[in-house]
Amino acid sequence: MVVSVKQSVMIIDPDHSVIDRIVAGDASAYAMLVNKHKSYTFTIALRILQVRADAEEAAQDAFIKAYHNLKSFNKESKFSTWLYRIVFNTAVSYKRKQRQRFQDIENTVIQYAQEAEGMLEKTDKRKFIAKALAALNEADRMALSLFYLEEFSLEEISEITGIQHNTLKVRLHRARVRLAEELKTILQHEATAL
Amino acid sequence: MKTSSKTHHYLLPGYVDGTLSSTDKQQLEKQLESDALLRVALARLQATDSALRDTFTLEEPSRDFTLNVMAHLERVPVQEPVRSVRKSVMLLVSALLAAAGTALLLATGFFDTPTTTLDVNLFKLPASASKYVPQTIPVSINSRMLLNSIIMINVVVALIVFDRTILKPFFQKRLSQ
Repeated sequence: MVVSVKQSVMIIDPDHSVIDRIVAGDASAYAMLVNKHKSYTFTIALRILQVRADAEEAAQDAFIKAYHNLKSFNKESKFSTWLYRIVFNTAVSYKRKQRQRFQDIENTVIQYAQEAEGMLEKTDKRKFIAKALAALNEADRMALSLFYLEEFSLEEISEITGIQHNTLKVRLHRARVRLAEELKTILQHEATAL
Repeated sequence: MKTSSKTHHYLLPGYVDGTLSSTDKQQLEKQLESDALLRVALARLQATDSALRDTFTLEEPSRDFTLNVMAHLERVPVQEPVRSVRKSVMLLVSALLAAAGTALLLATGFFDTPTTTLDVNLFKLPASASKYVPQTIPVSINSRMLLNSIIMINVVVALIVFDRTILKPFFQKRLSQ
């Protein structure tokens, strides 16, 4: 007889003790978690939404959702991974509303390029990268963004986005090759325009 | 060898990230010596990688971010309406079954001539009038049109459910990929 025992994996995460305090009633301790994770949370939302005001709203919304669901957080993963998954889903849901606002996807892509250009320094290199990124699809852009933030392992990105590990690897590979192709085209175009 | 094999190209990102096994790394480096196209692809990937590392930096939210979150902490977050796929499929199947069942009954002529009788005594007619009116009047209802309309409504409901629960999510997913 084979007995399968499901092992619960407990992760050592300094955030867990803060969560215990919050769940015990010390709501003010949540400010520590917000301060610690706000930059990554905001950056993830911004990568998806590309508009700072929308990203700020989505990130705040995600923190509030996380707070209300802290009791259901089972501590089998890092708090940050759990939180970033909430941010990811919240931002994707905001993106749908944004799409409705802009009516069609082309407007969003154009807007992305403009926002990205505005957000980044106006160096040529960054401008070209922003243009090339705008030509990629949303999922590839997101995979690249999380990968190059260098905070997340492939396993964590997979957990945050809900994309399978192998699919993610293929997507990252494809996105980088596509981006390199786009850059080549853009640079050739710029060269002939001079 | 004029063209680089797909396998070698597939190894390039791992080579740039430094995550290749030593065997794969040696194999790729050996191939790179003789394959000009592969070298071009590697150079392009390295340039893109370096540019991306400069581009994706951590962004900071506004100064009041934490204060805003803490001020609205007790606000109950708006829950996204969750459209249960199981419930939607049940609704779709029910609507289609209802339409098919009604259409079947119509086709077999079940509803062609439903008749009933109307009891005239219910209207308490004066005695003088009642001798000219029969006690019961047979009433025939042509229900075909009504039932055809019900079938039509069911089919429309089924199509809307199909669109919202299957087609729309499918195309949204494809659009985002």
